[in-house]
Amino acid sequence: MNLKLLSDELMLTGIITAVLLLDFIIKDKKQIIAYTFLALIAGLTLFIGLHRQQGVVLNGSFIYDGISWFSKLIIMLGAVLATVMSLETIKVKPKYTGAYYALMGTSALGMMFLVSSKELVTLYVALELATISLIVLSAMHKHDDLSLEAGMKYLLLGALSSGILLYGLSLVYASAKTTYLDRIMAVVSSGAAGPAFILGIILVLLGVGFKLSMVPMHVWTPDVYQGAPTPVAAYISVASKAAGFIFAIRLFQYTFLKLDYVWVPILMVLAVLTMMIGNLVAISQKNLKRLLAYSTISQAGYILVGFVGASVIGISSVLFYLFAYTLTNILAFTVLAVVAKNTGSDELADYSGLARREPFLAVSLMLALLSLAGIPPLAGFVGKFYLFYAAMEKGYVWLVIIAALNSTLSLYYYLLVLRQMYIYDSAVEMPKMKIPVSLRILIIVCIIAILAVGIMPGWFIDTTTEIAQNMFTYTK
Amino acid sequence: MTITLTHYVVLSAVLFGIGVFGALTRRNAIGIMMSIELIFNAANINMVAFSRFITPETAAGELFTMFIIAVAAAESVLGLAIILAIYRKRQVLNADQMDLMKW
Repeated sequence: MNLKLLSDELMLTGIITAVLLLDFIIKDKKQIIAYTFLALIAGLTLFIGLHRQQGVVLNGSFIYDGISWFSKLIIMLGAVLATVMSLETIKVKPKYTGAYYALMGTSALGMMFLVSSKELVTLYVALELATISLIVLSAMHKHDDLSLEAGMKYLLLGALSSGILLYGLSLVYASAKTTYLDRIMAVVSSGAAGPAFILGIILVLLGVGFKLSMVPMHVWTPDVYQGAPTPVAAYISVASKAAGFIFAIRLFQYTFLKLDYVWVPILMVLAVLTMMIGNLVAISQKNLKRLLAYSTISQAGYILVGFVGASVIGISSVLFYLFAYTLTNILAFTVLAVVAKNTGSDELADYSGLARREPFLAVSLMLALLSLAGIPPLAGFVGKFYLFYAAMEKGYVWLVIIAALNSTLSLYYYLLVLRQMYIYDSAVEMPKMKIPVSLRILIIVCIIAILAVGIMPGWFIDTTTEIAQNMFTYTK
Repeated sequence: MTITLTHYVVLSAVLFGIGVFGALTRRNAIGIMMSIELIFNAANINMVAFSRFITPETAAGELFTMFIIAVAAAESVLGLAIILAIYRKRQVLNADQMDLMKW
């Protein structure tokens, strides 16, 4: 057994333990814990980035391949950026500081296992580790009604969807007689798929849809984003969604690939519904966090368009988009967190005149929103173009046309925000906002990265294509 | 009469149906959690029955069930804690009154 392949996960477990121990030792100055955690996970991210491995351990239930390397990087990137945001913008009670950062770590650990496991029990436990930690994080402000309600809704819908997922998994297990994805794929390839198997796949699809905020399971998204602390919302929107999509890729684009006549039509219909509902409901939103939540729902719809595309190009486009989307969403949420810290509000009306008061924040938010809308030369444009190209490759022209129309529709509500910031003036004179230095650096880094990925996507696309091919060639 | 696999599968399907129906129609948050527990138990019965009848040589289904029970316990503990916190603050137990955020 080659335990070196588990080194990332073992190190993260060590970091979580260290944070919890520090919480016992340090009585006052709890901020030290947060800075230690930040330094350690930043180091771990660097280590993962430089230290890509390849192999299978634990009797074939844990794999370290390109796709898990890439998604681990996205997850850790999300965790680091969310930690920086938490340090500056929210007040965690000293008593809960250790717990907050430890839970941030455990949810990252769950996601890391989720993206690299190749066995149903491991997948399920990893999924729940990630989800339960995120539920606690969103209900963290227990004296805030909205935060508690967000936690409640997240929990009830999460539990319901994991129940449905489990029932589907039990049917898959019964039909394939095994819980290992590789062996399930062998059964699928041999063409023996009865009605129970197909029902199982449909139930699994619904259960996975919760993580992706795909339409019938999307109702939690706006409430959780609005109620949860802003860094946690950013983290959920970035890391949890990326992990969910990798989970879906492992199940559908790999294990059930030969059964694509079952899930591709369903996913196409759900992709159209996800885009439409996300975009149409976003237009009437008055709260910027809710608006971003509906925008992430429609982004999930675009990703699903690429997801049903041709195997290697589809996976590569999904990975690329997830990367671009991570940078963009973190940028948008950082601006929101800074404004909320200064004005205490996320309402759209309070953003009027932001361009005159804080040109730096206004420009950053504008770049983020335009990237989400897919305007060149920003990262979001290349990502969307690549997703639609993957669907075209398979000949789904009508789907691409609907997606492009939806993309135009989304520009409308992003421009509503820009109008609020640039054209309207605030009624009352507001004091100058305080932007912490670390967040200023974070914003500038995100902007540079978005521009770099948008202008020179070649290297990134080569990497994601290589990773996508690697998943099919490297199995044992 | 011997109990066959069909009996177990029908039982779990009925349980699953009751659970989904209850989760969608109950107003009380604790009632919803209980309905969700029924869904978990439907999956548990399925797992154990399939393991016994289809793959008697391995214990994969039983193992899965142990993990499901543990995770479901963690989930209900967390759920009850949040319900309690909401009740203390707002004296609200019904899910349709937890409506500070809509649309």
